Amino acid sequence: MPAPSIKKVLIVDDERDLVGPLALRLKASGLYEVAVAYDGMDGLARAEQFRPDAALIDLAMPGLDGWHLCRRLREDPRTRRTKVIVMTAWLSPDLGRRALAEGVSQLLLKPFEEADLLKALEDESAAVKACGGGRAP
Amino acid sequence: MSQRARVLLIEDDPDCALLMSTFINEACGGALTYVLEIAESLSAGLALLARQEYDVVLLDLMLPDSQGLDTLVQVRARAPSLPVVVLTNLAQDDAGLQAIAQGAQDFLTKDKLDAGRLRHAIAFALARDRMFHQMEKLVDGSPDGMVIVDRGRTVRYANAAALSLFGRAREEFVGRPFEFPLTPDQAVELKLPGSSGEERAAEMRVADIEWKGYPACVATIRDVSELKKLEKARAEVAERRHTDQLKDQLLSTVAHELRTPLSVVKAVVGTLRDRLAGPLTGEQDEMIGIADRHISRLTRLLTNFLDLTRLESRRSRVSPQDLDPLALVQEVCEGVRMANRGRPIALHFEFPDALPSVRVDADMIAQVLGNLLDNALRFARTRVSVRAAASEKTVEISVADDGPGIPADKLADLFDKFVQLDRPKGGEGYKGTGLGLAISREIMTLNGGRVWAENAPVRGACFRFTLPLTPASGAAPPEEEPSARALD
Repeated sequence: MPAPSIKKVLIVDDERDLVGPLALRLKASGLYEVAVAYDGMDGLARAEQFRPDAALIDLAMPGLDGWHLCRRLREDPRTRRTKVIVMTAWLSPDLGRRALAEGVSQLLLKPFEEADLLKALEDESAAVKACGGGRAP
Repeated sequence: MSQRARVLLIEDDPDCALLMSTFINEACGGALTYVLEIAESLSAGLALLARQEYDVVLLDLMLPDSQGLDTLVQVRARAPSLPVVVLTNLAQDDAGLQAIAQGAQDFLTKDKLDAGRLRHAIAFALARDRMFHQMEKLVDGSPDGMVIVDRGRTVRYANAAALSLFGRAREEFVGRPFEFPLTPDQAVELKLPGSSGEERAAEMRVADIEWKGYPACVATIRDVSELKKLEKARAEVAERRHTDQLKDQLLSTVAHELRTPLSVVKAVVGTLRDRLAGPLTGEQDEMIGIADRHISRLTRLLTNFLDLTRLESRRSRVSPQDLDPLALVQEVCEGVRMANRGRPIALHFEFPDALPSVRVDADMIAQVLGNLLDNALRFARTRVSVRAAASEKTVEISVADDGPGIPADKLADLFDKFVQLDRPKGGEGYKGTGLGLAISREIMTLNGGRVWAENAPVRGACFRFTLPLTPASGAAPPEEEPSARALD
């Protein structure tokens, strides 16, 4: 397998019990370097420092929620190119539209298959390569 | 016709009164009969007018307690539409004309009595009364109750509907005080005793009118019991719908809330299963496998449940596209074939070379076909067959198995929520959610198609569904909106 163009992944979710196994799964794949955060503000701080290629972000979080975190990542030149994958348990009717508007690359509906998570990251890697490092269309 | 004219003569001169009565007798011959009452002053006349009904008033303008036109004005104030014939003297030449200007019907000169004119005046008054009776008949036939109440709150008239509503005989009601409040221009609700004990609701409206020349009120009473019952039933339906909505909302919230802890359990069990947290003994592996399967089952149940509530509440966005049904069906079937490799059930596909284009939501139809195949594979013994064929207006897809078939008593409610058939003994550990067919039916309805079940002639069940063809010259399908489905 060629080396993925996404290497650094940040997981942001206030559900600590989920963050652990997800981080373990990504690390175990041997493809990713993983950082974790347990709320939006913490996620923002980690992102500025860690400069992830992709961020897995939960939507409902105390303080800075997932949508606001997305926007803050987009506004910061250091994290503007970070691919955002949103994880949520709530499939609301306008979720898809909102995700598109906020520049979210993928949606994962909890509970998701581990394979779907890995596939989402692979797809983003492929998109990054296809666009020469730019954002996916 | 023998109708008696009720004549009130207001005249203070007894000689003149006697003369008049003779003259009236002369004027009223044949069919025209009369009853005459005489008042000797204006006040006595007004008192009689207040007590009784008359058809015509013969009025002397020169009375001990009132003289001139003012006499007429006062009589007309008491009985505005009662015909008044004014009696004048020859000397008061223009008094008669002035009286007509003040609303008198006619005038007669005492010194020169004209029997023809008097007869005419009385006949006119009677004709007016006949018209009044016709009107009364009309009113009496009205399905709404109508009650005329005078200023003294005495009931002067009640039609049949009113008597029936109040449950009274005419003699118990007319001529007696009216016991309900009379508020004009405002609907008042009355509670009336019904014939069989139950209370009836009636709506009463009151308007000022003139009754036979007297100021009065008309109360119109309408039985609104049925309307009230209907309103109550409607309110109950709305209430039930609201409760249903709350229940759906609650269930949806619960289902969503369950997804978060479920995702944690799934991730943790997946970590153990894939030995990311270390090696497992054979027994541990087996136990983890059981947990993993049931997590999948719970996930399916929640997903289906949320799908169904979304479909039922019509919150699902349908994105119909013109597409080749063959490609869609083949793709789903191939996916199922791949997933079922190694199982001892033969998948048999029978498709024509080409099918006409259909207009449906591809993802939704794929879900329906997936559900039906899933069911068939669970019930089949050796074989599942999928067929597709075009008819005049639709493309029909059928999924048949060679399982036990559907018991006759389950055919009707098979597509209801949580209806499940007993699976054959020795079936695999996979259990359905009982929602797949309910979802399929909702989807087919939203897509303008139909899904139904039947038993195959020999053995097994056969599920069929139809897809509507792309209209020959129809408008283009609506543009697809970005949806969560397109993204996830």
